[in-house]
Amino acid sequence: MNEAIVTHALAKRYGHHHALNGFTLAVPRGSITGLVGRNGAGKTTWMMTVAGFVRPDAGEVNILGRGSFDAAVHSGRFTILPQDSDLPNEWRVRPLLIGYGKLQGLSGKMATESADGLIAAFNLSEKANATIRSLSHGMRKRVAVAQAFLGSPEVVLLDEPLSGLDPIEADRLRTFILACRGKTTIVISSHHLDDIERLCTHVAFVVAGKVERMETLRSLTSDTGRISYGLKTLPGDISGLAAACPSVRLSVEGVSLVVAEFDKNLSVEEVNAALLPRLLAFGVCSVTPGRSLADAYIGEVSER
Amino acid sequence: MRNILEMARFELAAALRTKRALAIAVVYLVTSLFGMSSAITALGKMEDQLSDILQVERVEGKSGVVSAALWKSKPFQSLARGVVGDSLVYDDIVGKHPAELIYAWIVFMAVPFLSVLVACRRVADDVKSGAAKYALMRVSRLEWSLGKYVGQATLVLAGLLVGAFGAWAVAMFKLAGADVASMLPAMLAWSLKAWFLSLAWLGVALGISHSFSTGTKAQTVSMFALVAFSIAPYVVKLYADTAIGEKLQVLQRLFPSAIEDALWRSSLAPVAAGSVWLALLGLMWLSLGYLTFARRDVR
Repeated sequence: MNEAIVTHALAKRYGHHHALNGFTLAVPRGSITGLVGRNGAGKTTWMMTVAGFVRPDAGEVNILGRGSFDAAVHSGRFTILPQDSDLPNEWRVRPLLIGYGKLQGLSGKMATESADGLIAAFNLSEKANATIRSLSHGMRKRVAVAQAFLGSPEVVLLDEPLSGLDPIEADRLRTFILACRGKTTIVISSHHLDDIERLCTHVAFVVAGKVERMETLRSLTSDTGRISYGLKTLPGDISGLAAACPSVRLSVEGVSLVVAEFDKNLSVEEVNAALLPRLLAFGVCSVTPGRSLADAYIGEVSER
Repeated sequence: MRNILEMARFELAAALRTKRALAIAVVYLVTSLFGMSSAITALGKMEDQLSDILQVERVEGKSGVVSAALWKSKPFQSLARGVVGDSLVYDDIVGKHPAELIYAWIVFMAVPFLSVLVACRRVADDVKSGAAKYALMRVSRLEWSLGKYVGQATLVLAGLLVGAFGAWAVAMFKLAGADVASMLPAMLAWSLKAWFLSLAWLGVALGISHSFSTGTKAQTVSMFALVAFSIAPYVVKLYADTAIGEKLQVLQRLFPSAIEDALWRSSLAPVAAGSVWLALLGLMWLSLGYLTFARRDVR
């Protein structure tokens, strides 16, 4: 089986609200998959349902080919960073992580080694013996993320893992997640599309309780006739450029970007060949074919 | 089984870290110390008054001597038999030193309240805060629930043992001269019996805690259940001679306080039967709560 998680037609209703409305998703093994959607789209409910915290009204969940979540089968192989869930306040960081490790079946030695490794990886060494209560919000978040990687699980769900982290720690976590690519299947829910774009191999757009589109990041962002040129100085008038390449639509974005959009009968190479020689005079700093994930998402969702 | 014990260990460790374990031990100790001390003082005063009324010489500093002598008097025996209400229980407690019986009375009085107080928020609070999720991705809901039950039961046992030693120390101090040293095994035995009573009450409290979304609601309902279940056997007695009396007699076997009498016995058979029934009752009440919890979302 090439999928780590398969959910089929998951449904969950809270009163009149359909939190999940036929949520079908196959998460490839070893991928880092990002869930992108508006508040209330169903990302967190899907994660809670896959983890067995929420009972679905209908649909199927299959984790690692062994059915829906069952601690006897999945403990230690599947973990989650739940959103808005307090760690027990009076515990100290290291004993808590060791305790969780033992709960998931690790021996005392393995749990200790795993906890110590994660404490170091998440820069928590100085706070290893501090109580959870005494930690800042960001530090608690790091402990919560760390517990999800205890014992090197095969599948990890991370619900808003980067929110509340300072830039340095967020970068450390991104590096950690990227190091897991190919080894651990990770699903990330986040509103920070830059992060999703930096980390994920696959992206699912979640709209109103179901997946509207699931693609590799590359196909979502490059499957389009668009090139962004970063320039040192913007040309005063782009109509001259446009005249040189009439089948390309040019526009200016921000203070340093000229964006070329074109139909699919033109290739990136052809457009570059026509435009780049004219743009060199303005100091070309970057050439980025395709669109950003944010553009792809907004384009996709606003079309509905 | 391994996961249940691991979860129980986790629960115990949590109690130690929150100093809840210490608080429980202190509460049991203070209850025993204060209860024993007050009761022995009251017993001494009663005996002094009795000596004065009977115009016999007071036995200074030896509370319990007059009571022990009274146990041997036939009219007192028949009076006590009537007060106890159960002649089998009376036969088993007759002749025991009053201090030992006072301790038994104190622990049987305190254990239901303390057990319910200790356990009633344990599940609801963890679910509400989200802390339960970190464990529930590692052990099953059943293992989590049973682990909590075993953990709480261990805590109560530790508290009861501390209480027994405290009560014995008070008896040693206040009943100088009496053969108090030999009372320690008896007090530990009463503590053990009280622990079986606590198993039933822990089941009630944790069962309720499984069924409510906040600790405050669980605590309120648990306290109501404590009062209702405690008075239920007395209500049943009121209707003993009526048509529904027999049905109520069967029903009252579901309430821990109705089984308490078996623990006052000395012979092994009724104590063992009562203890097993109380443990099963605890599991039954826990199971009722668990059935709700097993179907519920942990959000």
